[in-house]
Amino acid sequence: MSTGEVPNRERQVSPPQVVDASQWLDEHGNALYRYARSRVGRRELAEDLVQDTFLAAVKSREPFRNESTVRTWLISILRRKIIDHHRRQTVAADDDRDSFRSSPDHARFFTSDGKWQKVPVPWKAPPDVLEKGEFWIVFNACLSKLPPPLAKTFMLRECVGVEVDELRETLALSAGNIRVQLHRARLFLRACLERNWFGEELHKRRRLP
Amino acid sequence: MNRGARIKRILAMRCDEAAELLSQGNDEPLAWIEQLALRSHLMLCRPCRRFRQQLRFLRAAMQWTLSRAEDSHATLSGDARLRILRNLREAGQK
Repeated sequence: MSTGEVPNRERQVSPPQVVDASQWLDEHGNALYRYARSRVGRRELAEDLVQDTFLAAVKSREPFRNESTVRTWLISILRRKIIDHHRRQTVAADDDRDSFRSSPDHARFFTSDGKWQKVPVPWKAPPDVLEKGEFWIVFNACLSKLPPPLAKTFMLRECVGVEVDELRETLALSAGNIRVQLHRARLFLRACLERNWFGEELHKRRRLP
Repeated sequence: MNRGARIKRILAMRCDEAAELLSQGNDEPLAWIEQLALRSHLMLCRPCRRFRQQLRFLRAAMQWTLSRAEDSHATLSGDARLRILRNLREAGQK
């Protein structure tokens, strides 16, 4: 044991120190950065969120519990920071109806007697479709065309894994409204992909003799 | 709901209702009566079965891109690392 190393026992009872934090930065900084980057997209923002996470960890009065590892503890702080970031993003108010049938988008996708306006076609995707760069260009374009309030709710749900209950608190919306928003987001995204990717493949096949 | 009304509901489920439940099933467990009604509808409705498949695809695609990004070799830039260290030290001195 080198001189000056803090015995393990003491480290567990003492609050996290800056020296721990810089070691954490070495050990976990890149993992946290990747986690944030994959969920918020922009590099600068991801870096800021990682910094906020370490600062919060240092200031935390409750050091991580022994049953969790430093990594999962830090990730849980980061996840909270990402949720807060999304929550603070102001978006135009969305239709707050909590019944899909009464929402204006209903008529876009369904007839008044509940049938599909445009019946979903089979998606014949090659197994490696996710490996294709062009697919992701279309996918991300479709995501970016979602109305902002829907995009926010959808990303929190799908990328950050926030459950409906937590979404309700985070976004201060009713559970019904959140369900309607998630459903509309999926309907939009599905229709956009069908129109711009799967539909096109279908079209090509149709033109074959 | 009495038994007759339940059976009627099962037989009468519309595509818009089925689609809504399929979406909701991605987020929450459904009540047994909803599951039953949905399953019966899906047995008879090919477009809604496609929709279910496509919702699964959407979920899988999102998961794929997240795990791909997490397994990447992206690293914090040297600048970001220094900035974070500096701010940590300052926070520690307070």
